[in-house]
Amino acid sequence: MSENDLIAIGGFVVLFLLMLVRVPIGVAMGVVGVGGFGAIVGLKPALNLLATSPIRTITDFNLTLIPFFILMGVLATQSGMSRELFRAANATLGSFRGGLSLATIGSCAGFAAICGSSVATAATMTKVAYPEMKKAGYSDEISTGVIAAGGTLGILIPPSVVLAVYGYITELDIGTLFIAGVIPGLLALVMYMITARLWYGRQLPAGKPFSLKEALAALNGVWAITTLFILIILSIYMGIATATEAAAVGAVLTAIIGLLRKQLNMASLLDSLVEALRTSVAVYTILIGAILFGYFLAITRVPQSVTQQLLELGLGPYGTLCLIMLMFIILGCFLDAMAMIILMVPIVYPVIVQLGFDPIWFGVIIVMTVELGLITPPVGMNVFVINAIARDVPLPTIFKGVLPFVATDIVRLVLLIAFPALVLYLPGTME
Amino acid sequence: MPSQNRTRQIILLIERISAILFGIATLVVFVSAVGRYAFASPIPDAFDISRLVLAVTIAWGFASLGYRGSHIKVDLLTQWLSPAKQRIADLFAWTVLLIFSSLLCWKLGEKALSNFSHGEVTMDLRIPHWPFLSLIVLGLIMAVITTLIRLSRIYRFGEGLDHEAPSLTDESGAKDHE
Repeated sequence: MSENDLIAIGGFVVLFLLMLVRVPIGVAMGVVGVGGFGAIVGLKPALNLLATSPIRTITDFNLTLIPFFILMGVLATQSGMSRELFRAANATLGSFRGGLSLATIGSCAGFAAICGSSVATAATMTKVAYPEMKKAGYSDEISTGVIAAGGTLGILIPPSVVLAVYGYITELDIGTLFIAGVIPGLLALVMYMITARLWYGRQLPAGKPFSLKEALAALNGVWAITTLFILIILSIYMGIATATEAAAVGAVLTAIIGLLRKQLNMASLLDSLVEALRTSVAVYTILIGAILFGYFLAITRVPQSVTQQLLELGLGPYGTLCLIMLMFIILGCFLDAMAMIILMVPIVYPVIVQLGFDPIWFGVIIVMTVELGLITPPVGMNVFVINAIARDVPLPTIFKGVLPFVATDIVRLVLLIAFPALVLYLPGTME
Repeated sequence: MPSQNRTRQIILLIERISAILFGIATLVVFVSAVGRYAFASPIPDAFDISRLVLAVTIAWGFASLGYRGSHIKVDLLTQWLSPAKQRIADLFAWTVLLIFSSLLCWKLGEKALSNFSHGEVTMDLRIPHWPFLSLIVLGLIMAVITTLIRLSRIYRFGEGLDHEAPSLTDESGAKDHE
């Protein structure tokens, strides 16, 4: 084992130790990146990285879409659009048996389309949908399970912050990645609805019919934001606007809609900007650290060694892919989705390219894999968020409720691996 | 060390100024995009101005997160620790953040100084980059100070890292990172 290999292993050990004692993930990556680079090439060039790399990251125009999309989600939340989406979904689906659970999944998808964050979707929908489901006689297991699963749609249905970060790291077009997430996102929505209906069957309470007038009134509340979402996706799809421009236009128009409908005022607008900024800075910290850590990976040639060793296992393309996905699932027990993507993608990406897989397709597959970590123990971020809001529902109940949806996720992953066209068809037709 | 109320007010002021700058950056991209597609006349330097202004807001945002402790971190191990051990872990974690922020501040300060004499300018209007760089360094200086304040509060009062973090269960605070 060479000295560089030892430094690489030591670097990873220090990185995980730092993260375990709550050093911010981005800072831990930055410290190990600079320290590890310094251990090989010297302190001065390592410190000079701090003068060039972080400033490049925070002034990178391609990354500005992340704060813009985050702002759009915060503005939508502040405007109470989650409640309106739920009302509209309920008016459409509520008359069926278990209609409220279907409406919850539908409104989660709708909210994910504006927001791009799974945790935010789960937190918001718990407040909106959980009391209604409880009132209608749904068990805690079903209602929280449905919300936890529905929340994961936020990571996949565009705009997705995690997909954007994947695109940045792999230098792929973020707009194309968003479009690639559309069919898998819709597939997830349909499969979750089928799972809720079939798995829980007669346990689901009967629906409540809505009059046409009630349904139209409920739909009236969401037409503006639905149109906005369609315009954003179409403008990216047709190449009319870049993803960054679409994000900024989406954020400004969401604010204008909120102000015109008196759901926002100047104070709540300022609060939204502050909130979006805090979240964006947290994401940027990880990105700064990831780029610094990338120098360490490059100088220690970790990705090349991992590629070589994985290929030497002789598992074949799909065997290697399964091994990589398994690594992500195991890491998902300890790390959050964003950190996993940032830490692991630079290491495994060369393997994927060498095996001949499409990088856009892999982006969607790996985002779906980390999405599993949001609803599986021991971390299961969405489950903890729901537990923090619905305090009387124990964690095991939520985990039990979400179990059928974990199985659905695995089936969906298999489908997308077997039929890559489900991911790649729409990007292939982009102008 | 300023009192907690005054610190909160200062942090809020920093957050609000950067939030307004964030709003301006968003508007610049919006107006430029609409101008280009609707009237074939984008705002000159929209590309450079928006990314530089946004960089300033991000740097100032570090000051907020340094105080509020709301960076993305792994809570898996520390949630099982006793309060005393948690406090030690928090002190260690924020000391690492302090060192990192200080080094960043130092190196970017040097870059800003060198940019002052022979620096880059924006593409269309030839606006020098150094005022933006200086504001970024100012943000980092504030981040060092606010991190130090949080460290002192952990040490003196045993406040955790999440003591001033926005609540996840707030509707407005529900944003996270996935």
